[in-house]
Amino acid sequence: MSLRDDLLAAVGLDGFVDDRGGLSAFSYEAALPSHTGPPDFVVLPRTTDQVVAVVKAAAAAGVPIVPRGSGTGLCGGSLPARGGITVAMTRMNRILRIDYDDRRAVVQPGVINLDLSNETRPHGLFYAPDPSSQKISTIGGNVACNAGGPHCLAYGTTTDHVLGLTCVLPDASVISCGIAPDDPGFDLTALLTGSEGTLGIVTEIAVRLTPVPEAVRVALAAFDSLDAACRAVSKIIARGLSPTALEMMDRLAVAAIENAFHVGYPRDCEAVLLIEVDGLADAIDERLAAVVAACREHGAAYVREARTQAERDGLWAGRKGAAGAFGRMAPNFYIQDGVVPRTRLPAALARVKEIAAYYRLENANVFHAGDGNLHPNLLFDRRDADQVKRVMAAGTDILRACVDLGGTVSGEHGIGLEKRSAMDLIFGADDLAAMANVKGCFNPSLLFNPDKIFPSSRRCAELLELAANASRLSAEGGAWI
Amino acid sequence: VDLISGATLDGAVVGEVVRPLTLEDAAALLADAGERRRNVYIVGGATHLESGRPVERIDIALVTGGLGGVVRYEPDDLTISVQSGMAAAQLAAVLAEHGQRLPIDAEAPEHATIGGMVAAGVAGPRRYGLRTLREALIGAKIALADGTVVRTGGMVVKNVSGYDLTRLMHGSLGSLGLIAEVNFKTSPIPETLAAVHFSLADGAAAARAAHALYTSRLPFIALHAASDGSLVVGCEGHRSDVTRLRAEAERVVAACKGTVVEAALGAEDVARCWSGRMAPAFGERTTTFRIASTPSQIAAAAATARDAALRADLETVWSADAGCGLLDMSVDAADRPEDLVRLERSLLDGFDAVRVARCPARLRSRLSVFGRDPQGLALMRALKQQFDPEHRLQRGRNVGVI
Repeated sequence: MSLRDDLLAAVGLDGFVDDRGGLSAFSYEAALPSHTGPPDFVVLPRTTDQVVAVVKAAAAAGVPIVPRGSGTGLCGGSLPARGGITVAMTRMNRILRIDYDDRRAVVQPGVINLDLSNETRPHGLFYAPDPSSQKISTIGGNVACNAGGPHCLAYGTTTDHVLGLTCVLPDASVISCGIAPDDPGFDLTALLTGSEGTLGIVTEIAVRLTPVPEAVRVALAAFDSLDAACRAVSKIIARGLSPTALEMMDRLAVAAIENAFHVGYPRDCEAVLLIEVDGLADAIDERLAAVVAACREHGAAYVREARTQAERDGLWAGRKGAAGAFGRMAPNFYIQDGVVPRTRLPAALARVKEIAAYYRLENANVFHAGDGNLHPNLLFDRRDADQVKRVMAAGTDILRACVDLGGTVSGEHGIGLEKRSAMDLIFGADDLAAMANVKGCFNPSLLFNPDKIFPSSRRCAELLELAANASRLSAEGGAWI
Repeated sequence: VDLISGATLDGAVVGEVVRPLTLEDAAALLADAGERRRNVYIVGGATHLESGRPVERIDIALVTGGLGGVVRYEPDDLTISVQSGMAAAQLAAVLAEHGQRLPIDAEAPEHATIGGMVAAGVAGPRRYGLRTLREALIGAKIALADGTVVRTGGMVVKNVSGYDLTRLMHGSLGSLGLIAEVNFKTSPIPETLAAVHFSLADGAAAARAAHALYTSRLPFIALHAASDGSLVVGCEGHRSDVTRLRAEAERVVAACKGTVVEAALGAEDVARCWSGRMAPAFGERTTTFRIASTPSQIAAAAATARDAALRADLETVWSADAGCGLLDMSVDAADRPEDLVRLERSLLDGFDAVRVARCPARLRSRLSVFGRDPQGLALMRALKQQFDPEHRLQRGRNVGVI
């Protein structure tokens, strides 16, 4: 049987795509500057067994296999770098179980992030990781990227909420890990979370559900300078005031959001800081007041507190819709995801502005200030080759600036295809070799989501090949003890 | 830890003892041991040796106590990088100067090293609210068996650059490499801390009261019940939050016919209270099984475990983290190895996940220690093979005799 026949047998006609139009949709994701050719086939499995069958067929044919969620990735992680089979997990979208008593749920990877919280919120629980894409991104994709979000400042990122996983490995075996809190052996759940589909395809996810806080306060502070706003954030963190979210938007970002949504952010300022505090009702006002006081000390000219749920939702809607708003400002935008220590925010933003000016690019910033996680957006038009070149160069310079300030190149989007070369900025050959060794254990054929995460340098390719060979040899020789 | 050549460590005779003072020293010692084909057993404060399988032979004990310094502390960033041999108490003191802490309880904080606690995946009675060190970890330097030093993560609080090798070290028991330096995000010490000690009729009543507090969904930091009928409730946060939590706890526990005995207040006394709750019930003779249940089943789990011990004719003492659904059941079986083996078997029949947290080596060698093999064992073996191909580190200590 041909590969096509095998795949059809595995997922059925309604779970199979091989027409040109259908395939081309899978050569894109949300990251606009990077796209690849289309995959050779797309399959949309409905069960773990179907995934196993697909993985077997791919292995037998020796073709690459690339898992994909909703395609909201920003680094090309779900793009078919070498063609092959794209496994779109969007039809495995059932919530399998919710244990309200034990505050956990088991979901299939195609469940939309927000759908889980919408389901559980009436029962007083929610799923805390909240990437801005949560209305459309899947929990499986969130696991692949170890997604963050505004509320991760207080609640932690996806990895802190994944209790266990069921995963189809590249050899088509299926394992479950992390189901008990102190599972013996190595923490495979930690390794698989954030591995960007290079180690296996997750088919079930056990997640922690968090009690909805009793009280929530949201306020907005406006500053006359971005620098002052950054200093206020650094001070709020240093004082240990522990807000739930601290989100910053600069002048251009505010303009974009206001033009699109009219949520009432003040336009006549250089930076808006969105503040959320949650917890017990008893101290909530006092805790918010302490954060607001820190803002005023740093020159916040204007502070407004949301008085109603509708006002709170409105303030958040602007922030969460920022990406869409940028779409109205320019044909394309390119978003970076560097991280710096929180005390270095003022310096980092100053560098971003300098770099954007140097490359003559419009730059809007909407970011997780409380985590030191920058999201500089560079606006451009991809039809202009020179602009594209300048955008890519500016992006690299921004990441280098983050690293120079003691930070790193990705806080929550992942490395994918796009940021591969940036890995060399933070890791040396020995560090990358250790990661290559991990990949070799799971994925000795290197056919699972090839060309992702690791730098494309020749040296790194050799490391991966070496690690894979070592793993194959030890497997064949049965020398695993 | 005091250790000399010829001494016994967890039942194994120690050949040489080495105490590196720097990361470079440690890496060189590992490389040298490799050239001489000696196995190496990494030791921190020797407080959790019994949470793995006993090793047969220790050629070289590598004691991390000399790696005891702060590498970099950025209080305003709430991040710290320390050498792994630093004692938990010392680290707590460094952080407390800036009003910060690492969210972790240590049984013997003067001895337990921070690297050892990461390697052993230690978490104490406040796990429900504080979570584990896994969530505080942001980076590490790891010296592999061949002396290569690998850097993972960094000094920022959010990082998805490459595989998460930092968290892979948590609970690895040192089998993949020497955790030489660790970076954490720290937390502000809450304005007010309290550990409120209640007394109830018996363990079952304490577990029921703890569960009632869990179902309130109020943000208690700990709900720790024990077979002696004691229940300690952790309340931390803003002053008025703590007042409210204490009042709620008193109301709920009173409805279960419990009374307040005392309350520890302030960071130091509270930490001491929780450390005390971790002390072994029967001293060095203690065997403790850690049973992973769920919050809703915790009272039933305690009863099932106690019945199993009764059938083996062993006296039991248990404590339960009612927020996490974890049960620690302890027995004194120092003179009754056959009964202990029977008890472990019946616990494995009754529960999905049971592992030994503490047990004298000569008894432990007869137990499975980790319970059922995990499904990912073949992968774990492959990881061991890649990181330590000659199996020289903590040889045989981990699950599957890795």
